[in-house]
Amino acid sequence: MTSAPPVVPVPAAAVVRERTQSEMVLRRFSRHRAAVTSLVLLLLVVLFAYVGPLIWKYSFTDITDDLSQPPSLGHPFGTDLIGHDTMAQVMRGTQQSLKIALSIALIGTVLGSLWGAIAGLYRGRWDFLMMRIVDVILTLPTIAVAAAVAAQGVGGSQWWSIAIILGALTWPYVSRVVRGVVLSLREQEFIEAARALGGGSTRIILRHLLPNALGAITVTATLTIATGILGEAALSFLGVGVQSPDTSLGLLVSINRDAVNTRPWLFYFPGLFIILIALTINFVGDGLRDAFDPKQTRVRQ
Amino acid sequence: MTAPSEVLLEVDDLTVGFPTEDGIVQAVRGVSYQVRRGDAVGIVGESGSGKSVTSLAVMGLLPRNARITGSIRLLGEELLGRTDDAMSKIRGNKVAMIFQDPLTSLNPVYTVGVQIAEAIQAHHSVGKVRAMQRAAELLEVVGIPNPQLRVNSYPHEMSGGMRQRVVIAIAMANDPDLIIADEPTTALDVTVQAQVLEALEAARKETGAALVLITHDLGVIAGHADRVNVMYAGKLVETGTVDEIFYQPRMPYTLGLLGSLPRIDESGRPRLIPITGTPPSLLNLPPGCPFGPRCPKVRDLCEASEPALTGTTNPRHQAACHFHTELASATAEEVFS
Amino acid sequence: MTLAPTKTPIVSVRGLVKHFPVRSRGVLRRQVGDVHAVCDVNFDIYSHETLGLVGESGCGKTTTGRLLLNLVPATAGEIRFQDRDIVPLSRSQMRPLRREMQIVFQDPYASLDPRMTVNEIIAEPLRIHGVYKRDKVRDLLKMVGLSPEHGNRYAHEFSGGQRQRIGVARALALQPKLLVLDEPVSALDVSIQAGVINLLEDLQDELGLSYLFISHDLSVVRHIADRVAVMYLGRIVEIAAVEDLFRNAAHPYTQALISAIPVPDPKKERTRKRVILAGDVPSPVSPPSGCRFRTRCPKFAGQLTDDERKKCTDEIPALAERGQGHQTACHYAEALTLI
Repeated sequence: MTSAPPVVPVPAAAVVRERTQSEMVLRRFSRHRAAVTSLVLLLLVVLFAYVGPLIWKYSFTDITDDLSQPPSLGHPFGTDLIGHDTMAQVMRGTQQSLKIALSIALIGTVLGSLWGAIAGLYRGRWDFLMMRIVDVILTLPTIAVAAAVAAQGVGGSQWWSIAIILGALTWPYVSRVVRGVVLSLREQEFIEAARALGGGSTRIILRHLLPNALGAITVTATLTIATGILGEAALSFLGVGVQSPDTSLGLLVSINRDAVNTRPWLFYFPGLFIILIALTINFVGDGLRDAFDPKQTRVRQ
Repeated sequence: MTAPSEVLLEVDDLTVGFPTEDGIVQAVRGVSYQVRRGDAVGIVGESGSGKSVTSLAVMGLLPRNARITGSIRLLGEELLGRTDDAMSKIRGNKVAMIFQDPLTSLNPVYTVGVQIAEAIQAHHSVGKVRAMQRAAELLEVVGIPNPQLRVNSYPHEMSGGMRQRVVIAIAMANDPDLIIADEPTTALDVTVQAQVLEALEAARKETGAALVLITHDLGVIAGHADRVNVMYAGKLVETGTVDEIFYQPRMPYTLGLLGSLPRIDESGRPRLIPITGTPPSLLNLPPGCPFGPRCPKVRDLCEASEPALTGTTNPRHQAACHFHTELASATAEEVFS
Repeated sequence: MTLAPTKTPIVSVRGLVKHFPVRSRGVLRRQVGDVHAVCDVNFDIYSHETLGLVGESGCGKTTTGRLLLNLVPATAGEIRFQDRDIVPLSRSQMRPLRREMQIVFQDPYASLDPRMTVNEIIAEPLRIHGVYKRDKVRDLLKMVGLSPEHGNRYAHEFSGGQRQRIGVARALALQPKLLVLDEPVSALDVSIQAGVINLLEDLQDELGLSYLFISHDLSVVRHIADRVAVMYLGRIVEIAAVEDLFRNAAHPYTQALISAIPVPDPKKERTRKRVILAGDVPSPVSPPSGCRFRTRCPKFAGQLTDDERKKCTDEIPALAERGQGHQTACHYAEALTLI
């Protein structure tokens, strides 16, 4: 008890050469090895999805004469029963999945940031009401609700309808984070200083609150992309997501789940890409979080 | 017991470095000093001067990545290089430490009486009832009203000043030879600061412990220290008795510190004499005197070589200035304007 | 008041009250009490004058400063600035007045937006009021002793003292007449603090500013203030010209405060007379009846008879002239020289 050494912060004797905020963020991020590796992998995946189809000899709609071929030089990911080249399909699937995930993140982040910033800035009754709405949405089982709504066929099975449904269920996470950040920011003296200078609420939100909350928003947005990838996969797997002839990673896994034992390449390649994307984005998000965290100034031990 | 002038704590050529992304920050650069039994030594300096790091090193409380060299001897025993377990036997037994924030040293889930009693029982074989009685007595010594009731309070039920006095009571329970107080009153209001400083004096009287008092407040040093060490940029730059430091400073930095203080005991409005510039970065210090860039008396020699701590008129009054002889009876106005 | 009876004050505060509601937790958030932060505070500030406002944490000095700028709305009372009561004004009605009165904050790290360059920070007030000129920012930087070349750097690249200078430049950008200085040097090291104090004194002389200088440090206040008001638990307990206050402190709290400040002079420090207060400041949610200081007052505890004490518990002592040459809020005021 009394003999236990208290945690003593070492005084800031370290008066080091000062850097701008973005420089420090970059430096700290670049020291996070897992995050940098993940970022490189993720960029390769993106290149594969968007540049790949321009180079690759087959399109995802092409039907070749090679039926149910295991991976070979001609078909690195093999082919399916009808003769689709799996690699071309995975390219298209990744493209669609990324597009949907990015849209989910965009919708969720914009909506969530505004909602959270308004609740945090005005506090009081409005905050209470707005955050209870958030609580209610957070108690909903996301995939079940999304599947139910998507099954109603609003907007058909367009990729953007899936993005909207999942985006509408993800923004509460973002709003909670942003509200927390804004709550602590608004107590800062520089906000009070802006008020003392005669600055209005719009100026305070746009010039002071949002730029300072940007770090937290970036991190959450990144992690929302990973949730989006998994959400889309789950919906397509349940058959209420992207529909054929178009394809997505989730749909590919779903269609080929019966082939796990007979033609495993059909199932494992798209599955691998889902895991790869979700995992790398999570690591990038972790790296960003550490990089934006101002307490991370000393060397990792 | 031993002779009264026995050396209790001996710090010899202590250096502490912290590795950072830009290199090693030399927080302490060769500090040597002694504390004799019953002494009250004040360590004064501004933020980043290394005054706290020096004492954390004595307590073995530096983070593991700190690079420490030199020697720290308590009653002739070397402390550097001991394991954490061995150090915790010394902490709170022979040496007690009081921090700026008393909450770091109090456990929130026990009453203060239990915490003091535990400290007593750790070093004396007494029963629980007797230990609680003693706890109440100690609370009375540090000036907490209604000590019989207050032993049952939890730390969060007390004000900052009262908590700090509980920490002092715990320090006394161990009957230490040395109390290290690191900015013990910085977070407190002045009237509460006076109470806590009085409690600290009461604790010293009761235990006969020596005191190392670390503070940036020259007023607190003036009232509670016999000897003063002035630190700047990780080094001792002047050491002497409290009267020598305050009335015959021999280092321009000390002189500047005293000149820059607004005084409550002076009427009129004499202009303050600031020290221009800021303390140097402790990363890649340039050669020469670290105070040189801010010193109005700087000369070529100061830029070429760093002055060592050398005796002035009195061998125990030492200053780290090449030209300390010229500073005899100089005033801050003369030197800094 | 005592110092300048012929001049009209630039700002005068009458009967200022601020209560913060204490609410219960949970859904209903019912109001369960009030924090009596500021109670019936009266003072004037004249042009080219510094009024020091001193007291310990929680005494209401910072709230008083915010009230003066209408940054928090007052519960009751009047703040007359240039012959106009600003308490009822809305935020947009206050905007033109923001050019006349400004504030410098305590924390040089929290009070500057970390995402803005120094130029942007100093330009902000000029932009808000539509009077931005590039040269003006340069001039302001020079005025506070910073090099205009450093304007493109971010605030965190500067030391505490330099940041506080940036805060002063921002406050002065609109050429205000009144500056509220909320503990402007408390966070700075002593060697740096002196430079900022000198700057504030120079700027006051140059620009004819009036200061409300809020501080817990009586030494700094003695140095910079012309008059001093001492606050305890939301009330002003004594107000006097600076020399008068330090020579003839009449309120037991002022006396305790002065005697508790350590003097950087070992010989004086060893021989000083001390008034050490017992206990801690009571909660501002339920302040003591009558005189709020009586629970810690050494006079109440040791010198008064029971009959005399009754007056302290029953009757709020008014801030009034009681034969000491200045106003004090103690029924049994008695001037004492402590230094």
